[in-house]
Amino acid sequence: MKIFRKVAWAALVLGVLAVIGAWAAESSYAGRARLIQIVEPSEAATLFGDAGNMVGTPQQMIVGDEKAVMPGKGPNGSVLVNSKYLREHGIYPLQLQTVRYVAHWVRILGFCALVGGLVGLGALRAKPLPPPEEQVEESTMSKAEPG
Amino acid sequence: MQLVQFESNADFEIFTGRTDKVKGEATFDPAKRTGSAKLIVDAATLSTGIDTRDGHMRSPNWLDTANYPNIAFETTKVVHRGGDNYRVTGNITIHGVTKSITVDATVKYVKANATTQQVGFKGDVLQIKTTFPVKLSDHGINVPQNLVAKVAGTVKVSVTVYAQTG
Repeated sequence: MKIFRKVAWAALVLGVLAVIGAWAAESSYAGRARLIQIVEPSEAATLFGDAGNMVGTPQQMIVGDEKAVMPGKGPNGSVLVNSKYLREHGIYPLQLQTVRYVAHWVRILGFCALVGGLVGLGALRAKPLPPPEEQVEESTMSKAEPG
Repeated sequence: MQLVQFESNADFEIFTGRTDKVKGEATFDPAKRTGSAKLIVDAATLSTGIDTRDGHMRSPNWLDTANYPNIAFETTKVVHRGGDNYRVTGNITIHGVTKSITVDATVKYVKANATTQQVGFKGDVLQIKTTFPVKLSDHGINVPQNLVAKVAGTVKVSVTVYAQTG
């Protein structure tokens, strides 16, 4: 029974850590993410007043390298980021949407582990182990009976 | 210079695939504000930035570029809606399946000048831009159930192409 108690405690602790960790990671990332519009530089686009060709739509993400940032603003006040620079420097920014998705599932799994741990500990507490003397007596009796 | 791209917005992530391998021809009458266009996109050159994903995208379960190497669009009707805005009806062929679609587009025209020549254009320049949704299942591409969090069933296609006279 001791192993079940240990497993229940481990599940409880891991569950709490997962829920708190996922929340902390998501909050930290969300705090640093900016609305970014990736732009492919194009001289042809500048003929028509565009900074370049927009790649996709603006997304919340972190681009730490300020050299990738282009002058001007994109749709919804987004920061323009040079697609060519990202490609040449092997930068593939992590999206807030991905962080939120992973954090969501980590929270669910963490909550399940937490609840499982609590239920396990509750069940073990409701049915306490018999004192060692009784255990010895029971095992002696069970051995004696067949003879 | 040319850019044809799609954007998939699923729960897990947003990603884009793009290519500049676009061929075609366009006509435009600046006085009558009408024209036509035919574009052919090399589907095998669409890139999402991740080689493994690109390989899957070109495989028989998705674009099947071995059998359907091109994505094509041809206008059938162009209506001027004011300014640089047009409503364009045409046929789009993806994965060998052709559907009629109507999209909003902007068409800008610049006569040849020193700046256009500096950029590399020989004659007058036309910029055509449009964005429209494409439901993959309409073209015989079905997203497997285990990938619905990663790939959207409807992608946003954006086209920015330049044409020149001469």
